[in-house]
Amino acid sequence: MSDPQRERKVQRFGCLIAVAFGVLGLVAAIATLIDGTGAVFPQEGAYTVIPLGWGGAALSLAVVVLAMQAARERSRVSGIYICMAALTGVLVGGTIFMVGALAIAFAGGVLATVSATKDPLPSGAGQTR
Amino acid sequence: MTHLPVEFRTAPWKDRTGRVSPLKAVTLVALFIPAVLMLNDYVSGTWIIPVVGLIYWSGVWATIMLLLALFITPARRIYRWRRGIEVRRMIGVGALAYTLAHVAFYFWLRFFDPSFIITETATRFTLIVATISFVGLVTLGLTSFDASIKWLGGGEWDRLHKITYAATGLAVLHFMLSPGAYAGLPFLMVGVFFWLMAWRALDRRRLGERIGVLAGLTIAATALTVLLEAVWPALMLGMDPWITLSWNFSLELGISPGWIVLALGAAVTLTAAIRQRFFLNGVAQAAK
Repeated sequence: MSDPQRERKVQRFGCLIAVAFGVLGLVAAIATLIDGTGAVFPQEGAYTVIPLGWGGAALSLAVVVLAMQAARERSRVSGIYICMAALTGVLVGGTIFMVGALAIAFAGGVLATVSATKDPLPSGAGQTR
Repeated sequence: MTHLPVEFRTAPWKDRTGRVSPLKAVTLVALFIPAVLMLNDYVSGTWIIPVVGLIYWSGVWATIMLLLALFITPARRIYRWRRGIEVRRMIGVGALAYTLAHVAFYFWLRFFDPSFIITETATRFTLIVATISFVGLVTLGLTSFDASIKWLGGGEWDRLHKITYAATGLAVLHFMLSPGAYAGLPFLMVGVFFWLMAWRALDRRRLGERIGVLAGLTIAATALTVLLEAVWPALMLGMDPWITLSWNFSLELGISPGWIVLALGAAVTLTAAIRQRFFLNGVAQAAK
């Protein structure tokens, strides 16, 4: 891929996938919370236990926000942030539907990362550190 | 062989020019000391449940290394220790290695039972926090190769590696939320982390080298440590805060974290004062 316009389109497509499946993950997480799937372990002492779905909900929301931000930028780091949030969501999602949705969002993040071209002026360029 | 990243083709004790660097060699050896200590404790039967001991200490050493990596920047600024940058990546990779071991030991504790591990990871708040930190650290590790830095570009790489602060903060929070966090090490980590982050905020205003600021920062970090050690167990475990405060004036549970934070901060302040008074002034006068 050497055509910058094509690369930009692919990057936006990756972000779009991440947004769509992040929203789907959020819906799945809310459904899990409403469904009433409670904590598996009794709460005692410092063992802070939360109902299944909260972690996935927070990380799905993070995927959506980061993907929307990444669509506006031409940075590889924004794509990496999407991948990180989606991967964490996969690990703490808890339900197969949420894990599936965030795994596809992760793929969108990878697409957004590899197709992003470096800005002509990278952030921090010209600044004294 | 030549397709491997440059880091795998060169010895870790050599610098970029290919010569043996004593600093890098000593750091490399030092990074293995915790592993040797843990192995010794494991073999000698020091711990009641050996795998729990391995989980605990691998996590503690990983967090210590993360905090040490965060101290490189203040050390470079305060002591003009430019060579610190040579070992920062090595310490960070060491922290990642101990974190990976920490995760592997946790899996071992749960008999590598995926359904139990997945359920626990999704419902225990401390493990959700730990997972976010873990993913951050793995990302930092994967993007620490010279090739990754080149691929991302210096500015972008800097921006990405700002997540070190969040990953370290979450690692400390994970420690605080762990069972048995009622005194000692978790609060020491919080105090040190606060010092390191507050120093960065002050240094942005070009105050990071002032002795008065360093002394004030030390007092603030000590106060926070003592206060948190009293409040946190009261909130989380219902312990009497006065009892926790009284531990600062007895050696019943060893030296309290407040005193250690004070000692560490005072050591930095004092050595910075000595360096500025006797060495850097001399350099400035010689330059005149």
